Amino acid sequence: MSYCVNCGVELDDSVKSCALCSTPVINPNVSVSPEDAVDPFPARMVIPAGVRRRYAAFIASMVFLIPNIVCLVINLLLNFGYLWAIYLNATSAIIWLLFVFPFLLRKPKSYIIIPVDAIGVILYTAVFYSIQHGEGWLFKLAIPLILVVFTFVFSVVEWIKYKRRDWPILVTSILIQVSVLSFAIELLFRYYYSLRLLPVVSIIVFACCLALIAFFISVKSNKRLRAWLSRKFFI
Amino acid sequence: MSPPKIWFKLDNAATIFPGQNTSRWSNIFRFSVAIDRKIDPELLGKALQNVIVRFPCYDVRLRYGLFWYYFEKNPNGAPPVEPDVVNPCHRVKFKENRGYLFRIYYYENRISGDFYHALTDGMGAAYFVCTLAAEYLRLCGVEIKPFGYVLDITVPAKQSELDDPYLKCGNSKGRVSRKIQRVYHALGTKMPAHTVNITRGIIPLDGIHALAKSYGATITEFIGALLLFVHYEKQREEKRKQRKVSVQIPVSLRKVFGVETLRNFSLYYLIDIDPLMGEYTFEEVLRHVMLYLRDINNEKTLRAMTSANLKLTTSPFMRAVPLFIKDFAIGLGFLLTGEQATSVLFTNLGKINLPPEMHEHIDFVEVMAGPGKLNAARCGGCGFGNKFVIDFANIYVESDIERRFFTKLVQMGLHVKIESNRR
Repeated sequence: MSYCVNCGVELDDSVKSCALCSTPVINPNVSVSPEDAVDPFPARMVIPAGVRRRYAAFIASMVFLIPNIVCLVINLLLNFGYLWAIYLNATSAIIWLLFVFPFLLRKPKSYIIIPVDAIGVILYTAVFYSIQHGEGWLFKLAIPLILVVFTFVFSVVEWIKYKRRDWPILVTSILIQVSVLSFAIELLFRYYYSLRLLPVVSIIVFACCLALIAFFISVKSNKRLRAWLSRKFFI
Repeated sequence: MSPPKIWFKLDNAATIFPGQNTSRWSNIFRFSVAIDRKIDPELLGKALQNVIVRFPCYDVRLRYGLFWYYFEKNPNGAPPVEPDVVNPCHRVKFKENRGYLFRIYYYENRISGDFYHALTDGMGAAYFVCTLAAEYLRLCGVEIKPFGYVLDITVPAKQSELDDPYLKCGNSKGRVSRKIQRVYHALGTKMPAHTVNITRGIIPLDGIHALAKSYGATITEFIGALLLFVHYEKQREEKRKQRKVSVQIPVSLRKVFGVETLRNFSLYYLIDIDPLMGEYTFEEVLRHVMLYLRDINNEKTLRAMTSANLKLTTSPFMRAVPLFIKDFAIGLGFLLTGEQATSVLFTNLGKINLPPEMHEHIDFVEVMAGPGKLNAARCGGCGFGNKFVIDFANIYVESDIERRFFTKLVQMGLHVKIESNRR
């Protein structure tokens, strides 16, 4: 019979440390070693099967697929003069890619889902570009814009996932990335419309972000301010 | 021509549980009896087949209707008897386990039943598992007469045991208001899905009884107050926004209304303290809990609370809503308000009354509240002989709540033995 020197409770013969405080059990007088003693709880663990997420995603895919095929067949059989079903097919495909595809993966990973989504959005835009016979906006503006936005999303997601951080740090980093994103977007638009490559709107965004960043850094370092904020603005 | 299928409605309390069910969590609890010999699974299987016919309200599977779920006689005989698991009270799926909503486990000398709350409450589970343990001992050659929690399996179930007593007792015109307000919830590192940390504390029943009596309290009041105080202290040390701390104490209505049902028939009290009112000592918290419980624990208030709970099943509008919408609304409601108003739960089944012939063969009995969604530790207690067993089911890795609770009991002079599934 052993007692925890820290908590004062009696411990089972099978344990090597206290279940309440993890203090190791060292008792040379016990007659049964922890290995020989019967554990009060079994070792067998049963993890029940999860939701049939992939099955549900498969059913949803079929639900998407059937009306699309029907519309395409009707469009091809009854000649309306143009391929209207392509709008439905492309829109269904992008919705499927964004909202159903992640659930089909055994282990959804952001480094797979986000690039695939980016490619999907580019292809979706390309469909409309080819139908409307666009004049260069796809390669000069749309694709770079999509890539910039998805890079931003990817970096934010990875930054959040990387480590659990204090919330002022998290907000500060997102604000930095927002100002970088605004610069990139403005430069792309200026390049496309052949304007001088000077940031104007993004400077305003940057100034706002800078003020907020300064505020959140002071929140991070000033405990009194933080306490005041949580007192005043709790929900 | 096949005989007509036997079916019955879920009781009033049970109607909300299927809606709360998710792929990761079910409202489930455990009742166990430890005997003086190692369990033979074959014999336990036979005992289960003998016992289950006496409990037709558990020999069921859950079926979907257009407006409500209902129970239908399960044609599969009995659930399988399985070796126990280190992660009890994991979620229920209505088509698993041969359609049964309870699971029977064995480990060394212990028989355990995990019960889905839609089926019954702690008292009903205690009747079933104690009767099962008695039948097992009978098959081992011990003569046991029906008494207390051991029912006579040679006679069929009485109609009064199968009725939904909420409908009879919820006839008060008085109404009680139940405000849902967000209270303190302990934080920690969450355990992986479907796992839970269990800490079992075995205390001398006479010791805890004498200790509670020295404060003029019952065991339920004393432990409820201690849990409240432990959470109050923890919140103060965390130096975060001070919210109210509340303890939920379920109460069986069987004695109050003189009902002998085997289905759900319980309500809960919610007792809170507000740290913004000032500093509390344990004695003050205990006095608050005692006064509150003694004030509210009367037949009239309980009847009014029962009537308020009947709204879901009696309102013509709610009855006409299709099941899938009800399920969605109940699930959403539970997500938003479910455990928001509760910091900790303590359910006490009291002293389990067993036949005298069984006494020498029983080591201990225990009730374990299933893991919560927000509550760090949910607590169940019951006693037999001179052992009072308190079980904590904790969804967090950290064990500070259990440690604070049990060390306080040690400081008050009680002997506490700790067993846990923490490796």
